[in-house]
Amino acid sequence: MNDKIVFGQYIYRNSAIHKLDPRVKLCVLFMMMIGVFLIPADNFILLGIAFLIPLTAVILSKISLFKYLKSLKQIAFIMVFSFAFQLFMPVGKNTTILTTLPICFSYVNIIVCIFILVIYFLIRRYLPFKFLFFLVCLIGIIYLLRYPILGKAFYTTKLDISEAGLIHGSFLVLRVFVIILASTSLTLTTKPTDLTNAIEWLLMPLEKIKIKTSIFAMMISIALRFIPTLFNETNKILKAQASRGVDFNEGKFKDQVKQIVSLLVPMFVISIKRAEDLADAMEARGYIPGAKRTKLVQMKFCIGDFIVFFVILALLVGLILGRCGLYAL
Amino acid sequence: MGIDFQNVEFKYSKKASKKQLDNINLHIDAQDEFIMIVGHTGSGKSTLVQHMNGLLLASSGTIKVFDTNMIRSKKIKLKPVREHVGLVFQFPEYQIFESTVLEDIMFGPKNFGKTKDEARELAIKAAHLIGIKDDILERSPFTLSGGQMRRVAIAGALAIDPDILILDEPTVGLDPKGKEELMNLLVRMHEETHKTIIMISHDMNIVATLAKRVLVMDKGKLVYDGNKENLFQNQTFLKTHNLDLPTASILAMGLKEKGLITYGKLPLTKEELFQVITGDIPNE
Amino acid sequence: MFIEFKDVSFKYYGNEQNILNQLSFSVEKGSMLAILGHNGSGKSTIAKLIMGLLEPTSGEIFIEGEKLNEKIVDTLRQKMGIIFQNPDNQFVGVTVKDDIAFGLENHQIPRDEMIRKIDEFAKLVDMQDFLNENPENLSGGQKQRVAIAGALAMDTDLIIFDESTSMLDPKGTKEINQMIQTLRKNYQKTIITITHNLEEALNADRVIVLNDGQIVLDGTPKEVLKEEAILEASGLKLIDGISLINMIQNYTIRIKNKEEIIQALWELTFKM
Repeated sequence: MNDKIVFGQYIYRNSAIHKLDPRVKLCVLFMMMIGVFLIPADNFILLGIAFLIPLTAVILSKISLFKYLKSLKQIAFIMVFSFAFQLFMPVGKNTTILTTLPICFSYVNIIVCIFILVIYFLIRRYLPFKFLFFLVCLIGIIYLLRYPILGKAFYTTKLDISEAGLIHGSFLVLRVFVIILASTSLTLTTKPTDLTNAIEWLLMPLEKIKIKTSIFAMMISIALRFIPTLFNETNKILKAQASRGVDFNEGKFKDQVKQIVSLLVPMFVISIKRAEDLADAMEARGYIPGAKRTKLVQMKFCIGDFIVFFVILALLVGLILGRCGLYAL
Repeated sequence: MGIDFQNVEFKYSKKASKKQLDNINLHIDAQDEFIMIVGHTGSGKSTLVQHMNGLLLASSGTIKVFDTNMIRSKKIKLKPVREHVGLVFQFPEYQIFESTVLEDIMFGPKNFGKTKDEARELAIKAAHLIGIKDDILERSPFTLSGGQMRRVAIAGALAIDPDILILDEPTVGLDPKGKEELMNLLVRMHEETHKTIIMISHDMNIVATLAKRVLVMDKGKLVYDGNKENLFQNQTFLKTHNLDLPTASILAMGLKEKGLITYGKLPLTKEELFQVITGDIPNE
Repeated sequence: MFIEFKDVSFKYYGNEQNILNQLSFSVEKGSMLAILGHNGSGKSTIAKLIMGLLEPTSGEIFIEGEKLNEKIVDTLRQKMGIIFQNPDNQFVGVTVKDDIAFGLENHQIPRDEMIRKIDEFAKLVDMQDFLNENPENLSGGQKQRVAIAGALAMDTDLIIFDESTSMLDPKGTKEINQMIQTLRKNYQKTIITITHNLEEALNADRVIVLNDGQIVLDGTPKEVLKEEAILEASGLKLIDGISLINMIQNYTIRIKNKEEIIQALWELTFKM
């Protein structure tokens, strides 16, 4: 009953970034995505400039860096993998090999590695620094595989780390990093409802070709309204079924299916009831899908919004012109 | 045996300043108790009962439910606890999912390792206890009325054959007749089986007629644990904790104020008040 | 007459049995009607018929003399508001402010007027300090009060309370019932309250008791409350005060101050 769940990542602060018009923020994110994608490979200077944009937002937003890192954590594993993939990928001959990692497999090596893996998975959940722990284990395993421990290696190979691979890898990771940081600064500083309103406004031109974007926006806004409610409801059903002996972690496959059904059917029944009630309530209050409505929320651009928008736009246009060969990048 | 709370405290997170439960000490017997928990919304009633079958585990203090120490540990086995202590939530009809009434009541016992035949036997027994007639056992639960569905849901908890049955506002949303029937069935079931019943209720009229023991929660604290007579006698206590009086008591006080009746002990039910008015019992 | 039902019957498509059977009654402007009945007696169907959410199978409904039909239902709805049973399922907005605005937006009220009305009616239901709050952080009673503000903001003449208190705790119930009295006395709204609690019918001008889709009792609260047998048969339960009066009246042995006690019990019950 008192479980308060926070939906979305929005954190309230009184900052310039929070006050920025959500439409502008959304446009800037969109332009950032195009821009970062268009930056020529391995051009770290341009990427550095692109990085400055979300960095400014992060600093101005008055939200602690920790919150940003938290959302980056979710994709940290993917970033490490893509980095490793690029790093070890064989690239052409005309690049300097920085270092070569010998890899040897002996029985003891393999056993030790498995041991490390088992320990990793066992104590992972109790550690606050999961990602750091992951890196330590990974480096540990790579280091262990350099030399055969006790006895002969039955298989040896080597992995080349080339300069090109290192550059490619870092560039790829940094590119993703910039985009994620930009989108995180959007979601941390913008209420989901404001975002919906912004999307509705930006899609307005579609109304001209008879696509009812207002219905779409109403759907998103109702979804946003009911996600926390449904979440609470799910929690309640879970507890009710747990009291009837449901344990999602045990039992044969057949039992587990049944247990999931015991959660899904009630959720389905409740949702239908809710939808019926909601439809009645909305109709009774004069809602006609697609009809013209006035809006309580009014978004107004101010000078700051224009400045931000046009500065970013200018940067993007400059980049595009450069890519088109008007001048060397 | 039964449930033991010692200095129990509960918070949603370590950092939270608000204690959902604050220094609760309590013992509940495994048999013959009929306990009502009252307190206004958000006072911690639901949180309290969820500690009794391990849906929530205390932040500090010790809880012992039958033979299990309810501690936050990976090794803790909650299933045996839930076999001893059944919990029925508000609007329990929403937990129903099977295609027939009987199947749904059998779901609980089957989860606790009973064979199909055993489960069926337990289910039928539970259905009879809570007044479900045989002819609806094979029907789809979704064709039943609200009151009937609620009984099916309660039968689902009863079929597990717990020693203690906890119900969170079992009558909310039912019409007066449905309320009365359900309460009568629960009382009859309690008298037949001697199972301990713990019930959260907002309805002081029900508390005044049925409770053998009343627990009052306020701001996470257990502020009263005793019989209903002493509770309703103490007007200042009721006021400070925002509790209402039963209707009969309010009427009695009104009549006394007008000088129409006199009584020593405040009447709690309609019947008691009627006896005072007719003078069937001496005024002390 | 604000609302008039003439021989209205209703059944769901494909069903044999009528939910409402040849119902005729009317509600005067500015009065309060209580419709009593057990769950499943068809009482909520009446609310949906008035709001035009369902169409009668036969019979006619008039609202301020105009026959309710598909063409004018949208305009007629502007005169009427309804508060449903489940506080969560009728809260459309993401915040209190948005929810009060929902109906206003639908009827294309200009924004300045909208803001003024939200402030005014949030204050009336005592929710002015919660304007930016999300529904998850509100109690059931508070959500129902927001719904009332939403209906009032539309300048509705009629407000229907369709079991609006049946999912609330005693505090929430009390709040809503007090609100109903305020609306009636200070704002001259026409009110229909649909309930299974006799307490909530005590202050009505007129009470209708429904059983199996038919009106079994119709009269003032005092008249209706006397019919203990019919109420009992309709799945309703007399409130303690009234049933005490009946017990006293049927008691054959002399009771001291009998008439005074009965009089006092009436007064106390109506005051509660």
